[in-house]
Amino acid sequence: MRRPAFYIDTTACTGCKACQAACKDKNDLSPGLSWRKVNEIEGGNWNTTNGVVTEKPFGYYLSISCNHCENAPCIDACPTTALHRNHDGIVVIDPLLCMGCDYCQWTCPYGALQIDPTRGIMTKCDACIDYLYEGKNPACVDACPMRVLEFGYFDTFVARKGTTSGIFPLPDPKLTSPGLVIKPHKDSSAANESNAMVNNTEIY
Amino acid sequence: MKEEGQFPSMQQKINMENKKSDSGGNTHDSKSQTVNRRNFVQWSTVIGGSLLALPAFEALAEPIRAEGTGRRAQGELNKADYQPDAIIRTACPAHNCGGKCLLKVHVTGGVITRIETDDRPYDGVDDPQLRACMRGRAYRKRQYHPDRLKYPLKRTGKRGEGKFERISWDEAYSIMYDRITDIKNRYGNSAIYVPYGTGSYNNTNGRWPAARLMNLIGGALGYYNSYSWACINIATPYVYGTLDTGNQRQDWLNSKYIIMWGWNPAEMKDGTNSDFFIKKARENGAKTVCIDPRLSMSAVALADEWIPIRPGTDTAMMSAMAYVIITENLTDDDFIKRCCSGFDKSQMPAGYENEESYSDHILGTHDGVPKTPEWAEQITSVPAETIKRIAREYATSGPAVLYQGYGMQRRAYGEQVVIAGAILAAITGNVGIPGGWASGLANQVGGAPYWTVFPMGNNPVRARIPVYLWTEAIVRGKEMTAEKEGVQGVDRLDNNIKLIWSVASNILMNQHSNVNRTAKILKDEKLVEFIAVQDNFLTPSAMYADLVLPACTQFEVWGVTDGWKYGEEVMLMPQIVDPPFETKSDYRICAELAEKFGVADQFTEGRNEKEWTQWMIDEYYRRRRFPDMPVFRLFSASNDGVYVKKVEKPLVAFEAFRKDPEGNPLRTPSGKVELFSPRLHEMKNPAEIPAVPKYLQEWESPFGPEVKKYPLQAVGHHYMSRVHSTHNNNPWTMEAFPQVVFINPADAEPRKLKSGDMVRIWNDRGTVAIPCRVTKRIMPGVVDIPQGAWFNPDSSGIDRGGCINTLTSEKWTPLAKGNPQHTIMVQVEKFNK
Amino acid sequence: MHNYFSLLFFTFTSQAAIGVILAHVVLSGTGSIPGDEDSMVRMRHLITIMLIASLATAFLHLGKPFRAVYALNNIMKSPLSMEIASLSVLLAVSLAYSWFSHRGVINYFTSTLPVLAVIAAILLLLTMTAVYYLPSVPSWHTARTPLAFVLTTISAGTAIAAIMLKESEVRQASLLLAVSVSAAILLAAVTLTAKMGTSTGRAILTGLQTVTSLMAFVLIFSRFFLTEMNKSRHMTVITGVLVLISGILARWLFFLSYDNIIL
Repeated sequence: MRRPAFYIDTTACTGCKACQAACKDKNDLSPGLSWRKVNEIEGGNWNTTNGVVTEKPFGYYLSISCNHCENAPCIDACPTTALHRNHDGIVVIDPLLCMGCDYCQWTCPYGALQIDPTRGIMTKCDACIDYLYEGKNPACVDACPMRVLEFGYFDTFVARKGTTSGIFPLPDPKLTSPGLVIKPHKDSSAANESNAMVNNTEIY
Repeated sequence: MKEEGQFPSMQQKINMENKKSDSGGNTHDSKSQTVNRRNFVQWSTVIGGSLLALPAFEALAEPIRAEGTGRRAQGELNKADYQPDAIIRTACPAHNCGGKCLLKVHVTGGVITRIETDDRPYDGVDDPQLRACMRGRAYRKRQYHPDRLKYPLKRTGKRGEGKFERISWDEAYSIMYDRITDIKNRYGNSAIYVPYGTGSYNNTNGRWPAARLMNLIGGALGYYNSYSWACINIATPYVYGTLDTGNQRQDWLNSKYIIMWGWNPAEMKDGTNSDFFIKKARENGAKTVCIDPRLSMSAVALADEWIPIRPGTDTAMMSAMAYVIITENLTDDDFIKRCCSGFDKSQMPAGYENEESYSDHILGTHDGVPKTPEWAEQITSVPAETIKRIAREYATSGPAVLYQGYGMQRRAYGEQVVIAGAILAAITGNVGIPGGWASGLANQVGGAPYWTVFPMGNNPVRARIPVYLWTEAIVRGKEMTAEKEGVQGVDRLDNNIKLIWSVASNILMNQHSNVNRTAKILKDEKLVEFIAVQDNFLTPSAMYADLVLPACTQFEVWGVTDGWKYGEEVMLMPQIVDPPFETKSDYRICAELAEKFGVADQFTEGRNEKEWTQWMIDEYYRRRRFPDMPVFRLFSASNDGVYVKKVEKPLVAFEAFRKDPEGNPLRTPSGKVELFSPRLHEMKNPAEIPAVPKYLQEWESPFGPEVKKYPLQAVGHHYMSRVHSTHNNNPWTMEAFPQVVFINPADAEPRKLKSGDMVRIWNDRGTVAIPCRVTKRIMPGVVDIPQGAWFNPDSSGIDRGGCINTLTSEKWTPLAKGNPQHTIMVQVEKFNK
Repeated sequence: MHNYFSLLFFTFTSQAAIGVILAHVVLSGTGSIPGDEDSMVRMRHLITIMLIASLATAFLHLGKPFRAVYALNNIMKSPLSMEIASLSVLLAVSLAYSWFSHRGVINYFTSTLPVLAVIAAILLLLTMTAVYYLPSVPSWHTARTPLAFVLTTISAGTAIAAIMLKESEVRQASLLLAVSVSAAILLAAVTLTAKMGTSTGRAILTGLQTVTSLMAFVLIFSRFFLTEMNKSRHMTVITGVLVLISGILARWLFFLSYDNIIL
């Protein structure tokens, strides 16, 4: 089975969160629930000499939903087997099996899983399977005003030059083999060496 | 101590009996031990065997599921359950964001159930998809917000208290008729004011029908200019003689260098796809630079380099850039010679030969202050070397764009930065060439979108005030003059404003400066005797109304809209769902009111909203701009939602002028690009309205004595969660972009602030209390309170909503009489209440 | 971490129950307590109650409690699933043993149930550790996690067991406790000095955790408390409460250190 994956060009992601809103609208998400989250990353330092700016910080955005990882820790962790991989490789939750124990949420280093307090079960991005069956893209992909999101096959995206599967603040891709291919922002490598932080952690 | 378990257990009794049978006090019972050991062996065999059978146990575990679940995935469930009745293509409800985007609205059972965006298969630069931003995608949360106004309301308490009672539409119309007629009779039509308001640009909702009605019953006090573009609107023609200084945006792909100066298209929008076009320009090889006190969304995603600059000092950097360009001979001498006037002494207009020319000012020959990068460095905090480099790059990378954002002109002396930027484009010859950009307001050349085509007729009242001075017109209208207050059409106003009818506008008590001052003015019923507010929600402005009229949203009425400053599209906005409760469209409210005034026929011309939409498409758009657009009947039947005229070869402003300036003179005194403006000179106010663009220290700045009391500059950027004050109550947008004050760690630390702490921000005009967000993405010395949050004073008068206009000043700019709403000094401290 | 209080209670109570089971088995296996005296029976009942309490907490913390039986679907792959299975078996065994003890019955079951209980208890401890020992939670993916759980098991378990014994049984209990304390101190030393993951803060939290666990011992071990306990039932209760507080405090510190990667 060819691995499905999201591709994001973070060099041109403006952090506008249209992807986040499109997902919430399409999936009728309860308040406080976001299957796709946009991280606001900043780092670096300000320095002025004689009133003149000599060093300035950097920033970039990273929009992440579920990466439908090849070695998804959530699938093995799920005690009820509600979390499973469908025939297209998309990791899905069977809403009739899930008992809402929240354990999968612990195991996911990307924060993809969230409990829906109104329904008592775990929820996450399902790559808009219903849209995929209609030959359409996931809602977030077609929402992006900067056209930086794509959804397709991992091997296609990985063949593009200069891509990676993990930039700050993401974990080492070797951990879960995420279906995620990133064109890294020019400041993402600086983030690793510096005091970079995610400044909107309330999204988690 | 009493023993636990008073009654010996059965086991104990047996033990005691066993003990009795033994000798000695030995409590060991070897017999039971033997029994225990034997049982242990037996049972461990059983258990052990069972454990080995664990795989079989797993098989037993398999069928533990509810009946009929199988492996149905979320998506399959969604698909089975969700079947909309209709999917209608329309425009996003046309607020004043700068975007005009396409939505696909799903309707199920008379309710909007999902919103998608433009998915036309073609997405080329000549006709790109018009994708909505998060505000459009989150619109259901506004459309079905529980706070939507449902019925007409009449004030019962005092103005501003927010105490209302429900009344019928009949009574509401009677009140409107009575009060308008009363004011007309006692004062005259010029005492009536329908304020500036940009809540809807779909033509049938908005202040447009109200203006039309007023014009049929004697008119009302007019206004000119806007809150968005006051300075750039007035100042641009002094340089270029026109506002149409913008190329079609696809031309940016021909550019080699793009300066985004105080411009944040990714967030406010400034034309759907402007940010996308910049991305495309970069892919085509353009280098981009963002100059902004904030590391904005655009700076992050669209810029190769971000240059932080102190707010209000942009003109200084522009002057220094000009210094470099002139002294290093990077000017486009040919363009200057043929197409400009006032560059240096040799080019001054007749009668002004000894006045300070543009170069004189830059080189300091008259005032003794050469505008060197070193001079600018201390003012702007941009290193001199950077200024030099940017100047050289802009002048030599060619063709280059210097795009002027509106934030830097919405400040004290904002006219200067407009003229300075335009002239930089002129002296580097980036005017009239593909890939260049003349700067200035930059309405699209060759025909810009109309925005409002609903015919309002002619205003019998000739008097017009600058839009920003309406509170002056309330307090001392009759003293306002053309010279000092920019009154137009008459020499003097003959009335103060006595009646305000605000439609689709939150100017009154939210978007106008110095809200506390406005509150005092509006609370006095002897000044403005009657206030009616027509809106979707009980906004801060509506709180001060005597009469509140509930309008429907743009999804609930037929309308039409077109592009922004640029754009080649017209979007048909059919009525998608019914207006709820007793809401009506602004058009309908005005039409029914027109009946009371006896002008119903003239007002409606026999048309309802749908028929007016048809008229606007067939009789206006098709006749004047888009003859190839399908007629309304076909347009609406197609459900295309949008008609677009592809941009094959983007038009370039001033192309003809550049080739032949004598044959295509500009509408300036010299017919050329004016680097020295005799008209400005004649205003005889060189300190505030110089004839050449100058950096002028703002009246509230970090360089003035006010810095001791109020050490921080405050700006209020256009936030992604709102369109001005629209969507302030949208839970999805506000969750993604909450109202906070952004403050740099260097300023937060001494105040012992961390993200999430409640802080108060204040100056002499008011106090705001909201949580803070400590971020490096703003300059030290500057805080940012995103504009548009709703004014919400608590019992001690502190604004808890975070409205920046609690802090802004009503003082206006000298030339444009415009709004300097980003010129504010404040102090910030932790607030524990 | 959201809403961890129920998990705090669950892990502490179930681990304490495991500890009491082990202490009970050691006490009866070494013949320290002659026959099945009241305190040992009470101990079994307490174990059952604790297990019911923890299973109920685990059950109620679910978003959909009535689907809890599905938790047994994945025991081969999911440590959580196996944990619930072990807990269920343990509770069933403990209920049976309590019942038989209450009725004063001795039969084949009453001699083999303790063995089953020990196996299930150890399996429960192992799987519970596996549940928390996650690669994606760096602060927990260290030796600190198993050590913390084992430490709680031993300290809280033996402390509670000791509280349940009467004066005449104290001498035997003291011996047991002395061994436990030595082991605990050793474990604490290892915990503090071993490479514990990320930062000094974590190490301090770990140290605090250890110290609070040890509080239980200090309370019991001191001769004064031992005598006081026997003089008054109130002291027993107070000591029990102090044990609970110290254990829960230690577990609270553990949860505070939760640090998923992306944060």
